[in-house]
Amino acid sequence: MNPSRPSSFPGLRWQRDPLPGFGLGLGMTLFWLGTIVILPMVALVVRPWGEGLLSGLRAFAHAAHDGRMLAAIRVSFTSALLAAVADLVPGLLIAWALVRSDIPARRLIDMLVELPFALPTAVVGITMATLYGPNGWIGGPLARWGGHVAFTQAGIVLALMFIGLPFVVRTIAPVLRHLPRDVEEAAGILGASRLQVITRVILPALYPALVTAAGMAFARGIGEYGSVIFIAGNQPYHTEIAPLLIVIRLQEYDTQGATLIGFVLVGISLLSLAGIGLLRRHLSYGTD
Amino acid sequence: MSVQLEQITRRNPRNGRPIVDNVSLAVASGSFTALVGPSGAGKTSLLRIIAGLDPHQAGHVSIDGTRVDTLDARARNIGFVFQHYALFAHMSVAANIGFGLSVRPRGQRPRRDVIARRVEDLLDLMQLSGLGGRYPHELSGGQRQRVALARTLATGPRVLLLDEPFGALDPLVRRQIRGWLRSLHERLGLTTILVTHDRQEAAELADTVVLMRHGRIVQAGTPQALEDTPADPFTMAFTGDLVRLGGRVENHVFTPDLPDILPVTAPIAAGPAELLVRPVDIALRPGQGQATAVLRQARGPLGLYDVRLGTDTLQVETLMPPDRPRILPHCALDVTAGRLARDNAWASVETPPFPGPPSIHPTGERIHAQHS
Ligand SMILES: Nc1ncnc2c1ncn2[C@@H]1O[C@H](COP(=O)(O)OP(=O)(O)OP(=O)(O)O)[C@@H](O)[C@H]1O
Ligand SMILES: [Mg+2]
Repeated sequence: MNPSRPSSFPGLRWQRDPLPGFGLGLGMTLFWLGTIVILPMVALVVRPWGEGLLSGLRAFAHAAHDGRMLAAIRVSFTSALLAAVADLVPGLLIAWALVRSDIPARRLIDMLVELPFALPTAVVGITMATLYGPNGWIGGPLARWGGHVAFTQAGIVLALMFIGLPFVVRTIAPVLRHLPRDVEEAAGILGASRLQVITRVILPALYPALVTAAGMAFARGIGEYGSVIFIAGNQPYHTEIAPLLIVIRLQEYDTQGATLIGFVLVGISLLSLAGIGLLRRHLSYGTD
Repeated sequence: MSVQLEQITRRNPRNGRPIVDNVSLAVASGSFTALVGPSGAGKTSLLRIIAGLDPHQAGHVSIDGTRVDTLDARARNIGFVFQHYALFAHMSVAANIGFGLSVRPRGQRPRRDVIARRVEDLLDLMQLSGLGGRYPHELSGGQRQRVALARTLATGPRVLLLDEPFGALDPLVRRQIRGWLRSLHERLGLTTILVTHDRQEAAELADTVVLMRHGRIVQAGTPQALEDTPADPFTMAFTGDLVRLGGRVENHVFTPDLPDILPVTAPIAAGPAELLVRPVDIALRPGQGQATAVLRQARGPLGLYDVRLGTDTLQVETLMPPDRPRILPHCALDVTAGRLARDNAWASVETPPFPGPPSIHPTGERIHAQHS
């Protein structure tokens, strides 16, 4: 700050980072990210080309005409997207109940929210298939009204909603809890009705969290396997999801075909996540 | 619009203890009232009750003679400025200011261009021209505070409640906004109630200062009344700098524990007592004692002296002798202008009227010392 005193290293100002062990921390982060995330990804990306460039290209050309694979990927993405968006409504309501209401079973609900994480996904799948099957508690009456959930895409979406719900609740609840109350009070004093406070003040403040929540549920839904296959019916071209097709290809000793599907899944997922990130950044302008 | 509070009580919902305790207050239409008091006194709580944000368990709030106890906050047409601005972070400044108009029911909602014009006017009024497109996080603290004020004024409330609105601002900006708020209050014919910690702010701005403590009103009056006739030692301590001197009263003479302070006549019963005096009201009497006063700073005709009394040092601000000496040897302190207290209340007069100046009137007006 004193201009009359020249620095001993003009032009070179090394500022010590206030974090202790910054170098070590950075090294560890890169190491773990590398071994756990990046290395498998690289393997996945490299794999289709493992038998030569030509072979890889041929596999891609083949895949582009593989109707079953394209259908499976379409089923996976549309189901995950529908489930993620549909999860926002119950997720928001549950988060609201947990944070803002005084319902007696609050703690119990709080605990139950995590249940989909704790259960083996196969158990979820089997239970849902039984419940929503043609003779199940819910599926039976539903079938009489002409609604079919099990063995349709609706079943897939339902299973994914169950798996994705905790992400939504756990993403929204803390944001909701930390919304300043005086902002709502200010809106009320200015004449806004309760509904206007919710739609014009609270929800906009939650948009970024809602997008993040849906993004997480979506990402989880694309990869979900265990809970889906029991209720989906797994009809090729209709209710067969991409992860299942990967397993089938592996069982046919078609490793290249399997990794190819994985490759496409990763590509589309990354693009979707980037899009979600952009949207989130756009929506959170001013709030953080 | 006048605001009338009749015996308002609000209890802590958890333990039932009163947060606001039997408070009655009449705020005249067009007046500027400052609510002061130590932290936890219940100032914010009282303001929130007036606004309708918090319920009260007893008493009545009336606005212009109409009871509004059961009226929702949004129906009271009261403006409230929160301590931390409470701006809508995801809305532009213009949208913030126009919010109150844009949420009106369809029939009463002004047209879009009417709202926009009103917002422009308010931006001009608040000296925020050109900032309508910004977002709250892109503003300075003082600008945010003015946006909050503009947002509140947009719907045309006649009563304005402000909860420590300048708390987070630096002293210079504070002064600036203060003067400007006062002129705004007059120009718009508002009835304003302001919570502040700053006694100088209260004295400069308000017609009436209301001092609260433990949920009750200790004293309410003009700043001058609070200065001239403080209800108790607490009021006196809150409204200005204070020197407290311990001592004893014997034979109607108060003798301070510290040396070189001249005894003063005191028409109260014998026993320990405390003398409270403003530093500016202490006079230096050269040649009457053994204390040495050292000039610390001169401000015009006033000098700030450090006076050593035994092991204690008192700071005294007083008129300097014409030659402005740096050191005044052999001084004594004259604290005749002080007030006598006992057990946190003014000591009551034993045999009034007590003869012979100089004397201290424990209550009522005091006799002013010659130096100030
Ligand atoms: N919602 C509430 N529940 C329980 N106690 C409360 C609540 N609001 C305020 N209090 C209590 O009431 C008392 C008065 O609080 P209040 O906020 O009115 O004080 P204040 O005079 O505004 O203080 P400060 O100058 O620090 O803002 C405090 O002791 C506080 O703990
Ligand atoms: Mg307060």
